[in-house]
Amino acid sequence: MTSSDTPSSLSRRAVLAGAAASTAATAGCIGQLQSALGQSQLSQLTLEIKTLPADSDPFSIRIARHLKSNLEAVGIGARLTVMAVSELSRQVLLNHDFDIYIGQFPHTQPPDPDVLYPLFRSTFDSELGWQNPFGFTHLTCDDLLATQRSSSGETRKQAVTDLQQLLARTQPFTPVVFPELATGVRTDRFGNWDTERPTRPHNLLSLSHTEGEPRTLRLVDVDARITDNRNPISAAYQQEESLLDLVYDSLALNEGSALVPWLARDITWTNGGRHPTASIRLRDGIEWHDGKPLTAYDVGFSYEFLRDTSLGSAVRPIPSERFRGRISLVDDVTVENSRELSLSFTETTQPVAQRALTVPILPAHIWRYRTGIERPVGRAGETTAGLTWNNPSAIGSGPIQFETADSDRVEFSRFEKHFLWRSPTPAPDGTSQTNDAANSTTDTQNQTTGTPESTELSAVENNSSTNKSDRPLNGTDVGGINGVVPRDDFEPPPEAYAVSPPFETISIETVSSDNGAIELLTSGDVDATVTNLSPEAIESIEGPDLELITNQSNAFYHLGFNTRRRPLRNPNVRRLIAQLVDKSMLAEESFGGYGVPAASPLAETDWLVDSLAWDETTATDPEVPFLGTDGEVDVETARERFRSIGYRFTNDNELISQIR
Amino acid sequence: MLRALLFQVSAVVFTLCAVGAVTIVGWDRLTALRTDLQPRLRESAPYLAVLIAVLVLNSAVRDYAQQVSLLIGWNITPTIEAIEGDFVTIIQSFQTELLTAYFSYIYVYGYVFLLVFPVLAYIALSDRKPFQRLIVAYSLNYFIGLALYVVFIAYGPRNVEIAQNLLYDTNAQYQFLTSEVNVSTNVFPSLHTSLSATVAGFAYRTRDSYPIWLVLGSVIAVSIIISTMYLGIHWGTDVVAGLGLAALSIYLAERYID
Repeated sequence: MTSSDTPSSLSRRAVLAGAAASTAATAGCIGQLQSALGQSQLSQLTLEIKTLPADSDPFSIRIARHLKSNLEAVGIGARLTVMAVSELSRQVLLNHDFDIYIGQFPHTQPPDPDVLYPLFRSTFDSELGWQNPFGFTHLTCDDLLATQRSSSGETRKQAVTDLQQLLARTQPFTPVVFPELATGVRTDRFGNWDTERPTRPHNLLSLSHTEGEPRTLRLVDVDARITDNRNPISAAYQQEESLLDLVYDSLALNEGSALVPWLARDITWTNGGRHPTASIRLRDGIEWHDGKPLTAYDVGFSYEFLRDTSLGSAVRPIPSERFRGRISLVDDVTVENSRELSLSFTETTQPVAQRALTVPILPAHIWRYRTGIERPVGRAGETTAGLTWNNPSAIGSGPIQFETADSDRVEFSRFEKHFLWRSPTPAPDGTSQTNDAANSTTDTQNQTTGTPESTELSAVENNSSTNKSDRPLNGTDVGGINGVVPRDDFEPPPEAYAVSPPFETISIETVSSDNGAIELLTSGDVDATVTNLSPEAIESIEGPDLELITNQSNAFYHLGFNTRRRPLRNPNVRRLIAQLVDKSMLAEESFGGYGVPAASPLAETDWLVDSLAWDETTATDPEVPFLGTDGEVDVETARERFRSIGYRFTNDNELISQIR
Repeated sequence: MLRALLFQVSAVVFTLCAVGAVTIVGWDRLTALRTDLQPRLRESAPYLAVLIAVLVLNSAVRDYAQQVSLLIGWNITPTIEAIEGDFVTIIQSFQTELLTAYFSYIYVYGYVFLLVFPVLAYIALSDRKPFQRLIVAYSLNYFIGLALYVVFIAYGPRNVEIAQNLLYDTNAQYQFLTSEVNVSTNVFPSLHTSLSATVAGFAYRTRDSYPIWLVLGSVIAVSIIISTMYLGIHWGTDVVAGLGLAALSIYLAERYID
């Protein structure tokens, strides 16, 4: 048996390692002596790569492994550290404690170019969350970000083009692969799964339920963060398309192609000069999950709170870790009365400004007590209670409300009073007015005194455009079940959601890996997976009533560089590191073909600039082509390139870190 | 799913223990137990109480310890990788379907049997010391192991793509069992290794009473230790640390009860 030699050879190795370490230690001393004498220290450049473990995400670690081995081949030391998703977010987004991270873009849908604004704006360098985690400071970039925000037509197109080229040239981050993510669903209990994004939270509302089956929709996820933290504004614990999207409503809902009024009954835009204004009238009779009324005051509070979670008590604002880009569009909020408010915007255009309507609306009566300033252990700098709170009871106004949670399961129930599921009935006092909805201020709830004269449609300027749904009031189509609203005040929900709710409760089970998720799916214990499935795991989805739905996600995998740190502050170094990544090979091998390589963060949008389109014929990046073939780096070429930007190698081909 | 698995494991281990009781322990000792079991248990009650306390503590503070570990723990995964490189990859290169099946069953069923059977076998001995030492050594393993898990955060080779996840890839259901008793950041040291080696160590000490157990126990223990690496769950470093923990636990248990 050979295994008996193994421990001895291992210990021999350990002895050698120990010997090497002691040599290195003395070398260090000499090095210090040398540097004290004014000579440079000859130590190898070592970079740390931070990412998620394979259990949490099957793809990041493969990219990390590929990068590590190519860095080492060239002569750069590399350490690969994996950590839980909340820890990775904390270290990267909140503490900026990283060299290179590998993760996914925070937007799952092809976005408006303005999502790049918070990511690369130099003034967000010191902020936390998805606000310039790279510490990228480039004045031309700032100008382009501002221009695309404030212009339209060809000017904006040119700015977005220039911006993409600038980002590709300077590589503050390196887009790698846009994944095609697979979802496994069961069709025996719930049907009508969306064919593109079956587990997007709002799409779950349109499922159909099979008669006679239990009305609990069961999802399975590897990410267990929602079991102990339900704070919608925490960057470390939340990301897009969490079920919290259904707990907290926003004024409008992003439906991909269009924005539909959601909590807002109608939205009237006034494009006065270059600063648009949105006049918003809320739906009537909206309640929070705890029974308190939702008023325009809550909306005004939310915008104020997201802008500064200390509400003025901190020396400088401590903004929400999420939604920062969108909030920075809002200049001022004016609450007219309990149901009406207006948002005025900074210099921008309506298509950009309307993104600000998709942030979650928080109950003022709960969050206004969360403005205290905190300095938690393990965090750099000040924060507020609103950002560190785990928000256990998660009171929102959305279609589902929180019920219970333990360490591996969380459950929500349908919020029966949600506006989606109520039907029009005559006003109880019979004084129904049949005029335009704009005049119907007779409802008895939430009425503040001093209601101003009608400020609606008639009051706006001529150049305004109206997003108001002009569908006729047709209550009989709506499968309303509860909630009673006077007929005149009734505005049907957005068409896609005007169905009877398919479930009474939604649960998320959490498991330790994608294999486990599929095991629960095939055994019939859950109805759908909401985690990234590896190509290998997908193969085991087979059986009656099982379906696999794949969708091209915009949440592309990328390398993020901490440009605050040497040598990553040097764009030449970042470009060369980007050139050690064979994106085509990764898409083909590591993603098993479930993904496309890319060179621009806008690669899946119509904004993609031609010069950064992936070159299919050469299968290589147009800006930072891989220095090698089939994943194998051409070591001599790569070293030559590093020499050409001023780096040297030791006799053992270790790249010397330039510490002086 | 978990309940079905627990039932399966219990049934298999019970059967193995019954067979082992008849063949290894023997009828004479078993019949003696009919009268001696209660006084022997009473005599060793304090040690059993400590073991139970440690196990209860383990499950009670596991979630809390995990959070403390996140705050103060030292993530040594890259350090371990720097020490041993792709050692586990090399072990996995001997992979065959048969070996994977063997090591998977050994890792799950063999392990539980290896820990349970000596408790039964040693209580059947008239000498109380092996039983008490075993119980004390188990307690030490768990207690020190838990403390090390708080101090060190380490992911196994399967989680950093050094190794394939052979256990869950072929038997995904087992993760529902293992996730009940451990989390993915607790791989250093390998408790599978330390407890198996502890049992093997005591099997050597009691070889005069149970010569067959020395052989059987050692084979199972060595198989389990190899399986932790073969399946991609543990690093070689975890195994070395586990062997050290076993040696320490045996040493302390024998010093304490002599």
